[in-house]
Amino acid sequence: MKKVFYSKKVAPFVFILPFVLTVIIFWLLPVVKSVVMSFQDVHPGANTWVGFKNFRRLLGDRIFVIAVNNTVKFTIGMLLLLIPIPMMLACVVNSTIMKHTKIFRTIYFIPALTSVVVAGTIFRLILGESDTALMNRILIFFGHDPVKWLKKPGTGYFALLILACWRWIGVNMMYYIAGLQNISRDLYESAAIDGASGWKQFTKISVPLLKPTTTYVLTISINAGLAMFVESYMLYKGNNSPKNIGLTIVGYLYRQGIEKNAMGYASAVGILLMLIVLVINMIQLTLSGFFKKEDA
Amino acid sequence: MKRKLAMFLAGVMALSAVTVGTVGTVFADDAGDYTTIGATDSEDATVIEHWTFTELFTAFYSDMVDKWNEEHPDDLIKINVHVLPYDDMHNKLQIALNSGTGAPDTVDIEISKFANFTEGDNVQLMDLSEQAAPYEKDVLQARLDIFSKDGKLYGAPTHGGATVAFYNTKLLSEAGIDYTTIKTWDDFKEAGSKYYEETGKNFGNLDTSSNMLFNLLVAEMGADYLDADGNLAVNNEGVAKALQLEKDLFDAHAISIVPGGQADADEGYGAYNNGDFTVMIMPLWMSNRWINYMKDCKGNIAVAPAPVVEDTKALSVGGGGTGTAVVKTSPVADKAAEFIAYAKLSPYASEVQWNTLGNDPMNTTTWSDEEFTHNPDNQFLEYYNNNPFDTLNAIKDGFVLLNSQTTKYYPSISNEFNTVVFNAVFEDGDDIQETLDIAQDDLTNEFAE
Repeated sequence: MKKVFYSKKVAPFVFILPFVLTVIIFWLLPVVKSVVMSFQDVHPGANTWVGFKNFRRLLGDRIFVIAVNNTVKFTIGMLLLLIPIPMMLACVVNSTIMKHTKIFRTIYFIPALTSVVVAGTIFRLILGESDTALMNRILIFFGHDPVKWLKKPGTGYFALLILACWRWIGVNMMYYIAGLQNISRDLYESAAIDGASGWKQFTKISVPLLKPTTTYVLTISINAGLAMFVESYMLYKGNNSPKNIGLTIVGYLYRQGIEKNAMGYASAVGILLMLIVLVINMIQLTLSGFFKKEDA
Repeated sequence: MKRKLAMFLAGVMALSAVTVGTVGTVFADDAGDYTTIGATDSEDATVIEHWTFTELFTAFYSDMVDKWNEEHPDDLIKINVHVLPYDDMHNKLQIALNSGTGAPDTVDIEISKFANFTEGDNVQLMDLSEQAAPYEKDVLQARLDIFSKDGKLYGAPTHGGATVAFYNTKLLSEAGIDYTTIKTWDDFKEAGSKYYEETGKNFGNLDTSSNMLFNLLVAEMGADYLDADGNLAVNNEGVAKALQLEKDLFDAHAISIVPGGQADADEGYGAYNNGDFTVMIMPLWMSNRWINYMKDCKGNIAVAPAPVVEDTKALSVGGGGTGTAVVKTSPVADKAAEFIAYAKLSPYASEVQWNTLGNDPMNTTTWSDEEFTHNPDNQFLEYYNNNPFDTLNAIKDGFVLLNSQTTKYYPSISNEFNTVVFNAVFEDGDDIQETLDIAQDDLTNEFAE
C-alpha cells in the first residue's frame, strides 16, 4: 500500500484518477453509447440494429430543420448581445469614476444565481397574453393593443433572448472584469497624458487586450447558444411551443428521446449536434489564432 | 507529512467514488415529497409507491384505500402518493422503465402519453385483464379499449371522459339566449355571433394547445386521423371538414382563442371565472376545475349535450383520460393490480369518482341510480344548476371513441395538432389543407419504417 502511494511513477496517476474517471464515466461512455444507439431502435431490454435509418429520417425531418434554424438564430442573437454589452458594462463597473462598483457587480450577477425555473415562470407570467399580464399592461398604458408575446415568432424570439441575456450578462461581465484587471493601469494613464479620450482608450487599449477573454467568452457563448434548452423549456412550460418557434436542437433531442421514447433517433440528433458544435468551434478557434504557434 | 497527504488523497478518492454512487441513487429515487395514505399505522401492510400528476387524485385514492382496508382487514395496503408535474412525471417514468431502475409500483399515465409505454415487444406494464374481469360487464368498454393493446389491458381508466357543453346561464340570459335551444353547431354559431355582437365578450372556447373540442368535431364528422386500413391520414377529407367547421365558428366569433391556449389552464380558468368566456366545450371531468378554480361561476353553470352536426351518430367523444398502470417488475405487482382494478372499476370506485373528483363514473349502472345521481351532499350538484346525469343519459348511446386514440400514432398526432396545426390555422390564418398536408408529412416522416 505504502509503496503505491509513495511511488513517483504511480502517484501522478492517482492524482489525476478522479478527473479521468469523471471524464470516462460521465463523458466518454455516454458519447460512445450514443453513437451505438444512433444506429439502433431502442426499447427496454430489446435494441435492434437499424443501420442508417435514424440518420435518413433526420435528413427529411422538417421539424429538425426548424430546430436547427431556431438554434442558429438564438446563438447569433446571443453573440451579438452577450459580448459587447457585458464588455462595456465591465469597463463601466471597473472604471475609477464609478462609485459603489461592488453593489453593481453583485446586482448584475444575481440573475446567474437565480433558478431558471423560477425566472422562466416569472418571465412567462410577465409575457402572458391576457390583458392583465405586466408587459401587456404597459403596452395598453401607452395605447397599444395587447400582444401574444409567446405565440408569434418575432416576439417569442425576443422573449427568449431577453431571458438568456438577463441570465448571462452578469456572468460574461465577470469574465471581462477579470480580464480588465489584468491590464495595467499604467497604459491608461500614459494614454490619458497623451490626450486619448475615454472612447479611444476603450477601443485602442481595452478591446485589443481583452482578446483572450473575448475568445473564451465567444467559445462558451457559442456552446451555450447551441445547447440552449432550459430557457425555452421554462418559458413555454414544457417543450411545446406554438409552431415550434421556441424549439431548439437540444429541445428536439429531449422531445424525441424522453417524451416520445425514440432514444435511437434522439441519439442521432445528438451526434449531429456534436458534429456541428465541433466544426463551428474548430473554425472559430482557427480564426482567432488559437492554433498558431506562439512567437518565440 | 507525505503520509498524511497520501491518506488525504486516498480519502478524497473514496469520497468521490461514494459521491458518484449516491448521486446515481438520488437521481433514481428522487420523486419529491409524498403523502402516505391508507393503513399508515400498520407495519405489515403492503406498501405501494404511486406516481401521479394530479394532486386531486390523492383524495380519490385515499377514499379507495380506506374502503379496501375496511373490506380486507387481513390484507392492508398503504400507498405513498408522489405528485409530480405532468411532463416531469411521464419523462421520469420513461427513463425509469427504460433503464430498469427507479420506477414506482403503480402510476397514473395520461392518455396522450400512454401509447409511448405500450410500444415494442417488451412492455414494462402489467396486463390487468384478469383483475379487471369481475367488473368488466358494467363499465364503459370504449374506455377500457383506449388503454388496451393486442387484447391486453395495460391501464385502468379514471372516468368516461364524456365531452359536454358547460353554459353560463346567468350571462346567457342577460344576453337573451336560451341555451336549451342550441342543438346543432348552426344554432351554436348563431347564438355565439349574437352574444359577441351584443356584449363584446367571447362565447365558446377555441383551444390551440388542446384537441378536446376538435376530437369531438372529428368524431361527429364520422372521421378519424387514420384511413380505413389504420394508416396515418391526418389530412383526410373528414379531418379537413372538421377543421373547416371549427374555422367557420371561429370566424363567426362563436368560439375564440382562450388566453394561454386552452380552457384547462390557469389563464383559461381566469377568463371563465371573470366572465370573459361563456360556454365551454370540454369533458365532464372539468367539474373539479369548476368548483376549485372558477368559484365565482357557482350556481350559474348548466351541463348540456355538446352541439352536433346534422345526422351524426356521435353525440360525445371520450376526451382526455388517465390510465392507472402497474409496473410489471414491481415486487408487489399482483397485489397492486388487484387493488387498482378495484379502485378504478368497482361500483364503489365509480361513486368516489363522481363524489370526490366530479368525473363521469366508469360504471354506467350508477348513471340511473336515483339515490346516487341526486345525492344532496354532492359538491358538484351544488355547483351546477342542473343535473349532469340527465345529459350523460341523453348521450349514452352516442358515446364514441376515435380509433386512432388506441394506436401508437396518437401521442404524436395530438402533439402535432396542439403545437402546429391549430396555431397555424387560427393564429396565423394558414390554409387548412396545406397545414394538414404538412402535418401528414411530419408524422409520416416520424413513423417511416
